[in-house]
Amino acid sequence: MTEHQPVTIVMIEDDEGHARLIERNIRRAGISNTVRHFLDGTSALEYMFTGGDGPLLNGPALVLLDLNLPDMSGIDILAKIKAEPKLKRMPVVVLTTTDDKVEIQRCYDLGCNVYITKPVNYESFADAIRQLGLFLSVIQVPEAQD
Amino acid sequence: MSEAANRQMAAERRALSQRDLNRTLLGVLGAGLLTLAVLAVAIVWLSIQTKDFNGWVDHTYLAEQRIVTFMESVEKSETARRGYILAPSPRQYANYQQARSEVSSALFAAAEITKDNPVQIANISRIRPILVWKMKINDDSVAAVRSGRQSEALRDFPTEQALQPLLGVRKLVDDMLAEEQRLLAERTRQEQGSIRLLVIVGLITAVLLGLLSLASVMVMRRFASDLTNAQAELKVLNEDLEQRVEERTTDLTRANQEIQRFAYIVSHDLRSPLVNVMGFTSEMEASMKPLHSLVRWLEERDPEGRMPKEVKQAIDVDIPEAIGFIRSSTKKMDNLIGAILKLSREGRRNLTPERLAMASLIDNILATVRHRLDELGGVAEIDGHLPDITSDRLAIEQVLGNLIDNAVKYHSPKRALHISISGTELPGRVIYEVQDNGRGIDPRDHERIFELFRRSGAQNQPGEGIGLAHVRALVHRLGGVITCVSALDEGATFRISLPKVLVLTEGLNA
Repeated sequence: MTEHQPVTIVMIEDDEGHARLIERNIRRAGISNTVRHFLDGTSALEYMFTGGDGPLLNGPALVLLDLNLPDMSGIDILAKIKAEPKLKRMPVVVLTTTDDKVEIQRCYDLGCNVYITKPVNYESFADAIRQLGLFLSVIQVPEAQD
Repeated sequence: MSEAANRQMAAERRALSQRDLNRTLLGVLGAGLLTLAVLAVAIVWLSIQTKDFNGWVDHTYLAEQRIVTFMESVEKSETARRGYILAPSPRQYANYQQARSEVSSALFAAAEITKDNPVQIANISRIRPILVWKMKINDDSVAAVRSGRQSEALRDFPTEQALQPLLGVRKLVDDMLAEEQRLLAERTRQEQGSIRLLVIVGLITAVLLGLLSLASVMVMRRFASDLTNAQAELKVLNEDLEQRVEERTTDLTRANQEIQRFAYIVSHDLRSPLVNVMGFTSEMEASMKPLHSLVRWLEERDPEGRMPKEVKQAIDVDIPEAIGFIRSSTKKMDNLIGAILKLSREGRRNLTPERLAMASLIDNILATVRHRLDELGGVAEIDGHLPDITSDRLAIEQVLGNLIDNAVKYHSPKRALHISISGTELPGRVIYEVQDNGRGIDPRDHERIFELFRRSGAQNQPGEGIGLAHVRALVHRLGGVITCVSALDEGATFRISLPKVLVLTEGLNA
């Protein structure tokens, strides 16, 4: 069952441009998994915790998380995910503009798996995302626990 | 603010009227003391005068006494003469001679004591011939008795001729006594007047003394209460001031923190759209490749040139040019945001003061520019002894490193570069100077160069106008001041004045 169930990529990103660029580069890396895009924290949490096809109730997932969201801080979302026993093993990649040392530390302390700063230079940006794509293609994502 | 100004004005007014009042009080007090001194002199003078008058009164009594004595001696000699004539005896004769001798000495004594009075002198000079005449009569009658001619003497005895001079002398002596009486009355009156004046002046003095004592006590009490009030006011002001300083420091700290946070948030939030601009520009550039190929492909199949020129122009020239400008502007904007971010980070970094050996610190900085200096054939050296300082190492390195970098960067092609770094120590402060002989800075730009993103002179060197803004921010954080002395084409001297020992305060290090 695990072998056949595809990993859903949950992207929480308020900037539609960023989301589009991220998705394009992920696709260019040869990743064809479903990408669910949410523009705010509330709807993303709703999907993850209560959505019928969300990771809590159904199937493995990977989260791409931006920290600057209009309705809540990405750090809060991270904390909520890591506090839920059924979701805490779900990989979370923080992908944000902030490169503040303190912020990065906090994210890792809360259990974030990878922290990536979005480079303004597009070539580096595209490169980072493509490498993330390669990373996504090889990592094993645990299934949600019952 | 206006309340404070009003309060201050009121206080000034109060102080002014207080000063006026105090001046008046002191003036009155001074005038009183002066009057008192004058009165004291007057009392002394009046006392001396009274004593003088007293002396004169005594003098008059003495004169009167001597005049009376004189008259008595005359009467006594007359009595002795008559006794001798009536009953001649050697004892009576001796009596007469004795009395006779006393007459002239008594007259002399009377004349001596009244010689200051012309009236009495005149009287005495009138007495004298009469007395001589009388004495001659006396002596004649005594001589007649002695030579046994008693009857002759007795015959002359009752005649008017013998009595005449005696009566004259009596009359004149009465005049003299009357004159002395008159003088006595006059002098007594003067003496009494003087005594009365003395009493009045004494009374006035006593009253004035009392008033002055009262005024002094009042002035003293007033000053004492003023002093107490002033002290109380000062205490209140002091406490107020301390509180206000504390409030301001808190405000400042808060404002400082807010600015830092603001700069940080702004730079991050500005970066986000920039990622899109850069990203989609690149995407567009990538999409241009198939379009270019399409144009090439169409050209090959269209030797007649039916394709509109505008299409080729747009795809080959206009769009790539637009993309180029978008890219370079975005790049620039990213640099600027990066600079703001750097400054805001610097502002948030915790300073750690330590003792810095400046000579070796400068040597390290010079080592980083050595290569460039050698290329230019320039020299950089420490001039004299560099005083050490206790401050934040990184901040000091960045400040001096920036200044030395600038000195190298903005050298003058007209002469070999020479940079000298010197320092002087003042009480509590250290001054460092970085001096070069480079292209210099227009005095109009001396303030501008320290502003963020502002530069001066020919823009022939790379840079964003961040370095000196950063330097000034750091120097301010270290509690120092930076100034620039320069003129175009005459080199530049940057002078930094820093506290000898950096003391961290909460407000600055937040």
